[in-house]
Amino acid sequence: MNKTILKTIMIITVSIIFIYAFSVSFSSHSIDNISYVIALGVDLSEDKNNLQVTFEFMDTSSFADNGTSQESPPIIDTVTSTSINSAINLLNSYVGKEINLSHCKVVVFSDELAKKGIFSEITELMNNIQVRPTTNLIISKSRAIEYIQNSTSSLEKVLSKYYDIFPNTSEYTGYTSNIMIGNLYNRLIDNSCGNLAILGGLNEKYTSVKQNSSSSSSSGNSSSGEGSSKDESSGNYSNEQSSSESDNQIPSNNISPNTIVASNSPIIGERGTENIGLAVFKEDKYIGDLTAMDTLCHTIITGEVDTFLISIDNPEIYENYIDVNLFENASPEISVDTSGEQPTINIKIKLTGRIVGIKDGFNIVNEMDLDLNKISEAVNKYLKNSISIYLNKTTSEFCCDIDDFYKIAKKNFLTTQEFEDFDWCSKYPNSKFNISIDANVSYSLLNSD
Amino acid sequence: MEKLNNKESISLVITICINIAILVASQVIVVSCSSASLINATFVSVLAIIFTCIICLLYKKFIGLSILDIADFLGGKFLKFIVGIIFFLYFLFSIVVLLCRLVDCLQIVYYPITNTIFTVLLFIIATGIVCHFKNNAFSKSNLMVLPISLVALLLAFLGNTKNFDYQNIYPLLGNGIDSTFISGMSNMFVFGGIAYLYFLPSKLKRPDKFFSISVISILLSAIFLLITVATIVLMFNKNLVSGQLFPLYTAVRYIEFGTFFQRLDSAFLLIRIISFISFLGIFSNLCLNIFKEITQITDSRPLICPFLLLVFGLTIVLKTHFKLELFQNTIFKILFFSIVIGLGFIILVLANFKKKAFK
Repeated sequence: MNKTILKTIMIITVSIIFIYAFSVSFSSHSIDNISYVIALGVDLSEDKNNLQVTFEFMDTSSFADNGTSQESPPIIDTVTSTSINSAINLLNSYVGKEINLSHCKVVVFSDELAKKGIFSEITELMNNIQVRPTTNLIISKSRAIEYIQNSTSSLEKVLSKYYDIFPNTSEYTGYTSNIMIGNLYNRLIDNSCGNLAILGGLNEKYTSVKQNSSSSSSSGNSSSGEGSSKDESSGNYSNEQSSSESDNQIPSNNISPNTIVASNSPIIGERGTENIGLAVFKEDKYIGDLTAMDTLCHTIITGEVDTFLISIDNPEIYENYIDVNLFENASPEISVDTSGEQPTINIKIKLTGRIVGIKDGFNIVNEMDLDLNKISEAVNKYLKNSISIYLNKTTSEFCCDIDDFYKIAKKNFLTTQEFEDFDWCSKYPNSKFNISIDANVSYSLLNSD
Repeated sequence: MEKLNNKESISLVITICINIAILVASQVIVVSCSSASLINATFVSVLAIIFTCIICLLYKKFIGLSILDIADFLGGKFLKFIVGIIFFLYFLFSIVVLLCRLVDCLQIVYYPITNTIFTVLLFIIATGIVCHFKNNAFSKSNLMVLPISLVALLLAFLGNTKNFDYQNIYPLLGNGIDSTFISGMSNMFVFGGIAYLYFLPSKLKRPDKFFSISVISILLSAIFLLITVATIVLMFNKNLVSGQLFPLYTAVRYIEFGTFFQRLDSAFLLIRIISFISFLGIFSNLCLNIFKEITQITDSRPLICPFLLLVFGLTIVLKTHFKLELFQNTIFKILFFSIVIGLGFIILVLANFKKKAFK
């Protein structure tokens, strides 16, 4: 009897101790006491010595109990501080709830800050257990705060969901890449390579229309305050669309993927930002951009893109554009020869393709008189040329290996020391490339041989 | 005391090896061998299997006897006492180092504000409950936990395949032949389960199956060690592996099955906690049994509380006053080689000579 009483007392005592001990961590981590950041923006402050950190929070009250969600403007706060951690610390006292980064989907750095180097900021983020290694990293051509303020998606009401899915386009366009902060940090520590981040920027058409609409609304004695939401601005955009036709004129030289990058695209829409191309880093400093076509070449070489579309403009085959959808059958075969003074990089890419569109080609399709071998050759030539231009850009302009050829070169060495002695970084700019493209193009699904 | 069947015995050895591999050894292997980690893991696995076979051969003349019985046969009560104390200290050391490591990780991830004492106490009480039950409850519960733990390990590997960079295994010899094969041999400490094999024959229902039980358990442990090391090596640069979190947990943080199944690391950590409690139960039970045998007391249950208090105290001292890296990277290896490989082997060889001389 006494033993049972003693046991019961013991169990109750231990339970009380644990309830007391773990309630501290639980209370601070309770969902009621936490404000979740969905996007983080980092800019240089006006005095150029500190950081201006922007936090975008999701209004959780917009999620209804029945599982539906309504559009609600996100809450954006900005703090100027010496580091990201001190900015979080400062904002904690302002918000009144603990700021948590475990649902942060993207981190945006301004190009101005990225040019100065972002290693300490990335390390700071990676040392924060709340930041997921799968968080996407964007380098914005504009200020990060502007990028976040304009980052809306009319097709996806929940912004966090949009941030979650937008990098998937890399698999079927090749115009961007799913760059995660964990992988970027992994490569930053590896001295042998350059680095890449998603290139983002403001959609120029959208912002100019927005500016026009805000100036017209202010001249119309509008009483909208400073904190006007994105919804209002997008609503204004719709109303003013017809009055701003001049802004919709796209220069013809700007529709080629060779020139398209974020902030310089022929897109007109209700979204204030766009992510096209990639930002190139040497060590931790932002040194240049990859255009949409460069990015496509990069994703073809790394095998990231599954399917992509190219337009062939070859007068020998056909006087107008032929759109071909290409599929990567297998990962590209890449070998690196390091026996000579300069590395020789051999790239073999196998593709299959289908013609999905022929401009003004009604008769041709009916008569089936297109020479598919010639089209395949034209595709090979087009891609070989584009990839050569892209690779020459990496060797002459960026002078760093952003396609991870160094990892393949490591096969030729037995130990890490031998590879380090080879000094890949200094030898890569002198590399020679042998590119072989083997595309097999057929008719579309509706017309076959 | 109820004897262990074959499945229970195999699962006990695998649990020990896997916990050492995940919490300590995989990190040590990747940091020391870099891209040659897989080769090193394969090499030490082969060595461990060969060593296990040798032990089994040496045990042929001592069927159903533990290393303590053999020490008794070789050098009498005094040697039995000394050997018992040395192995007791080795198991105690393993418990304390691994407990410190997991508590460190838990504090970083979930309980930053909670005092370490409470987090350690949570494991101590759970282990106390496991040890308190009779009829080999620890081995039966371990038999239930192990499959879940192994599935989690496999999922950590399979879920990350899209993140793997297969070029990470080059250069093949990593930091060189020495770090891969000579000094790399010390990474055999991952097979801490071999120490348990010395005490297993006296606990078996069928001691004649000792050879197959030992080889199968070490072979399966080797396979899961390779899976663990492969997951880490194919994902990370070696500089990223040396943090406070155990690298497999960091790897699990990358797993995403679409946009629906994300953040599986919490489930993984929960499984690891349960598996670790199982490990604590096994080693604590063994320590108590060793103490019982060398002091010749009839019941070891009254010793559960003092023993766990000892573990608790040592863990707190280690966490607050020492750097864990020295213990997990160097002392763990030295103790494994001097006690498990050296002392155990020497006693078995000498006992075999003595037996031969008697004949």
